[in-house]
Amino acid sequence: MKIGLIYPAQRGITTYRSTNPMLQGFFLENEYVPEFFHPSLSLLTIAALTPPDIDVKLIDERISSIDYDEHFDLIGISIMTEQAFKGYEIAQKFRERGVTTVIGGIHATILPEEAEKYSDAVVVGEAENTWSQVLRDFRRGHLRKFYKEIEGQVDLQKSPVPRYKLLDLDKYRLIPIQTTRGCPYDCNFCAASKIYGPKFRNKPTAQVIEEIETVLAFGKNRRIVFNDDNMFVNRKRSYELLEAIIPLKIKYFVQTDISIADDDKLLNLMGKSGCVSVFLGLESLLPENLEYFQKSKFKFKHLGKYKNYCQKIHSHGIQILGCFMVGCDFDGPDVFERLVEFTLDNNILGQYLILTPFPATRLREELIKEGRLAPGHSQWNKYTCLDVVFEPKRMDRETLEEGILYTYRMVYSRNAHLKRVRHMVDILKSLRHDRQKIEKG
Amino acid sequence: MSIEVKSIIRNFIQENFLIGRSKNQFDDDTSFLDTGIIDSTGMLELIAFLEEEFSIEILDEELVPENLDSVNRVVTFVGRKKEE
Repeated sequence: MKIGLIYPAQRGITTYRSTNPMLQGFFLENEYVPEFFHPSLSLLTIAALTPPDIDVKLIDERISSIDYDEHFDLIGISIMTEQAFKGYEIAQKFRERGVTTVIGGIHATILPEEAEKYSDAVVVGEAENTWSQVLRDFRRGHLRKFYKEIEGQVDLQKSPVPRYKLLDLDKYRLIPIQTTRGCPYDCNFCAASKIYGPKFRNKPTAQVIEEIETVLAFGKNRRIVFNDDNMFVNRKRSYELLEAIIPLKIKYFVQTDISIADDDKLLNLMGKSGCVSVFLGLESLLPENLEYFQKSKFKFKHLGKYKNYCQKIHSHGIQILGCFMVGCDFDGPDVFERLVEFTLDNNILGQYLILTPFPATRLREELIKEGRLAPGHSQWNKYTCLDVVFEPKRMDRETLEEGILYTYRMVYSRNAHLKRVRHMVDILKSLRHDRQKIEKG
Repeated sequence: MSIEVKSIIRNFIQENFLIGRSKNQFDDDTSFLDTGIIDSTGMLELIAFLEEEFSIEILDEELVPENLDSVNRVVTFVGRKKEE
């Protein structure tokens, strides 16, 4: 038996995707925007959940084409919202050839009835507890329409080491590892808590170390990207994990929240354990926007310290990639200049995303209620976070599109890039100097 | 001089970027960026190391692959900077 696991995409388009040709052209040409291109962790996990007597082929459409005439008994497709149409198209083509298709992933979890129209079965939620049942039913010829996991019920201790061996390692410099699922902050634009449930779960330290060692065995010199929504929520566990990572001498990227800057012990351990860059959801520089995003007002309360926080994180030799959303209700046309100034002044990297009302989010419900998004809006190929799909409040769509392009152009100009490099090189030099002084006693 | 510089640079690459990989798997002309030995963030570490180790100041316009993308390129570049 042979299974194909497919990550749908447009070939050659990696980290940044937009249907706006000006923006897409910018990302294809600019040399300084950081790429975080890595393989799909969910498909690697599905592969690991598949019994060894089944042949598994991974197909990442960003780097290879699909051969629809290749023999497969079963096709699995993982889709996020922006990939939905492409995923459905692929499923249809295989079904026309008589191949059974199963669709899963975040979008299929939120809209299973939609995904079911294009496939033979839909996996709803996390697959650890359901995939073996899908395979058993398929082999018996009794595939059900839906396989549903109750949200947040998967025990991460039982999640297998992803099957990294299947990767074409010449194609990926970054290898993903997930150590936790969940995020306690429940932002109104995020559907993660709907997928993973409100409970924050983590893999035990020994399990994470085993995964890192597996990656190092197959992909030497690769950087690791910890694919958690917010890795350091549980501080006690984070200290223990980072201590255990230090001897492995890895270099890694991580996504977490700005509160790490208040924790000297954590920053110290992050620096020592090889953290190269931290991805922080800073979201906005306007307090009104931050207040609107989160009921807990966590980010709103930290806004006044963003500048100091950046300096503190940098002082440990860790780069910052700040993620900002634009087109929020309190953003006027001056938002772009403000973001450029903040990013350049603080020598950080920036990712600027257009506010996007993903299905199952409170943001979507509110925009529909206000008549700024059609109730049945489903142009999923535009849910890239770099396309405008709703009516912004304080600027028109064109201003928003032009503004985001302007922001990227300014932040990723050659001069801005060199200024950032110089800033980080000076910090790294100083840290190296300090280390040598300590070593010499 | 260049033999000593080459040895220092190779050791730095070996210790920081070739964890688990044999020294013989890259030669002095191997492109760091093309082979994934060093990515753009690793390049930051290399630049900081070169400035510190060889007491040189690398100018912004010198931060280009032509100067930094292989052991031999780095050796040539450092030699030139030391002569300035």
